[in-house]
Amino acid sequence: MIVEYESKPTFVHRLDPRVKLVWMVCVILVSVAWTHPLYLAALGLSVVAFGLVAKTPWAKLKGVASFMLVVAAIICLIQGATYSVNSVTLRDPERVLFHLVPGWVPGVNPLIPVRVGGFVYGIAMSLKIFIVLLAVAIFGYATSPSEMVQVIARIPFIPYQVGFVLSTAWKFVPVVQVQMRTLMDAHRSRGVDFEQGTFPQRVKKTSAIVLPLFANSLTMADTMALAMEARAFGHSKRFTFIRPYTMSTGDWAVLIASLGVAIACIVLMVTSRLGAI
Amino acid sequence: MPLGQGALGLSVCYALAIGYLVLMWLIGKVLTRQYPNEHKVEWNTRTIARITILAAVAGAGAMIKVPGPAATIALDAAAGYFAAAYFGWPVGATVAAIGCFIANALGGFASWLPMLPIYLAAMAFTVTLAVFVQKKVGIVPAIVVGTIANTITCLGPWALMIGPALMIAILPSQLIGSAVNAAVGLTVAAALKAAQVRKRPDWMDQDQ
Repeated sequence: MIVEYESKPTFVHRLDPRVKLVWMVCVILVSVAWTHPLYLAALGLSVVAFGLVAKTPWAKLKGVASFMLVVAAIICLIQGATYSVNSVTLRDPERVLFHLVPGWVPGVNPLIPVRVGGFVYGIAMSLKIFIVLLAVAIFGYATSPSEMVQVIARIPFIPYQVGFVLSTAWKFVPVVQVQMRTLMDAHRSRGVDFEQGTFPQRVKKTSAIVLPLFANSLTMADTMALAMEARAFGHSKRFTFIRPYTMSTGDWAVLIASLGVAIACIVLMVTSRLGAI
Repeated sequence: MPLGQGALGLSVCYALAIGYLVLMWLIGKVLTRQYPNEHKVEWNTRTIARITILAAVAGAGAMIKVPGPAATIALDAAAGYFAAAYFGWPVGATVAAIGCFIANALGGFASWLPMLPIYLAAMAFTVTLAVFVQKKVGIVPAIVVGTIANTITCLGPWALMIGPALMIAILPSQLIGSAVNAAVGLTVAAALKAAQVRKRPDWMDQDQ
């Protein structure tokens, strides 16, 4: 995850993981629906407030945020130069802000105009990306990976096998990583240097790990199938969870607020263009 | 004209993703009908266990980094190609989709969460198409088709939403990454299949 999960005694950490998932989905839906930067900035601030309650370690997001700032600048310039907006709020979206190739360069006429509408739309796009990034980071920081897969396993229309595959695969990733490291060490002990050589040579060296890794994984899958069958996996469609989730008053409050605000925002956007650029 | 990253752009891309799934299903049906021994899958405990482990391999594969000429390449999609060629397209498509989800989740959903369902559908479609071409023509055309299909299906929606300009910058690393994943996944499956049917050399038994 962008920010690793940490167990902390905060209100957000204590929330039911299903409620946190609904909150994240609502934030994403509203960020997708709105196109006005001011509205998106307000949504971003509400996400930051939620993050403050969760005591999110903002310093850990610095690296991703700086990279995203560069991406945001590129998006603004590209949108400004290529996108023409049918705006309901901007007075003159076609007004030229500046040229990517400026006129003061001797012997060159001003080229590639960056227009207000496209530029403002670019800012909105960048805000959307930031908001989703923040919401996902806060969700990941306040929800443990096992809780996440437990949530997916509890979604009514998803077969329990999918929940099982996701939760078990998630837990097996470190096991496969250990196998991978062992295989790499075995190759290194024979003098293989994975960093050296041309690109095709490096791919060939890596393939030498992948083949035994897949072969091992097939053996592991067969052993796992035996263990599952020994425990009568699939015999009954009714199943139970080790940790049953119960909703508290706080959970209901956040759930109703998230759903209510999201539905209101989307309805207002569709009916009266509130939140549109 | 780009559609933007708003509701319209995403809706069109989700419609595109449904198109990928329909195409995958049609190609898969042809494969199942023509090669029932290889592509008809029984959804039993063993199949679920295989999908689980191969999805974990896909997740771990995202951490196998090959320093490439344009960017560092991760082997996250190779397990999907391998599963499709080795166990049949339904297993391959499922591994590709779940593996893509796990690889993205481990990376912190850095490639913009609302696009994830489109990537899952794109990966499932790509591995099915690659295996179809492999069965019909051969492994090299399958790698080429898999590379092109993966590049188009993953970058296409972005080009549709924000225009082709930014996509041109990502194109080389995407092309190389797709090619390496397709090549590794399909060749490893072919090698393991060949190893299963190859006769044990006589000298091995003579030594004992």
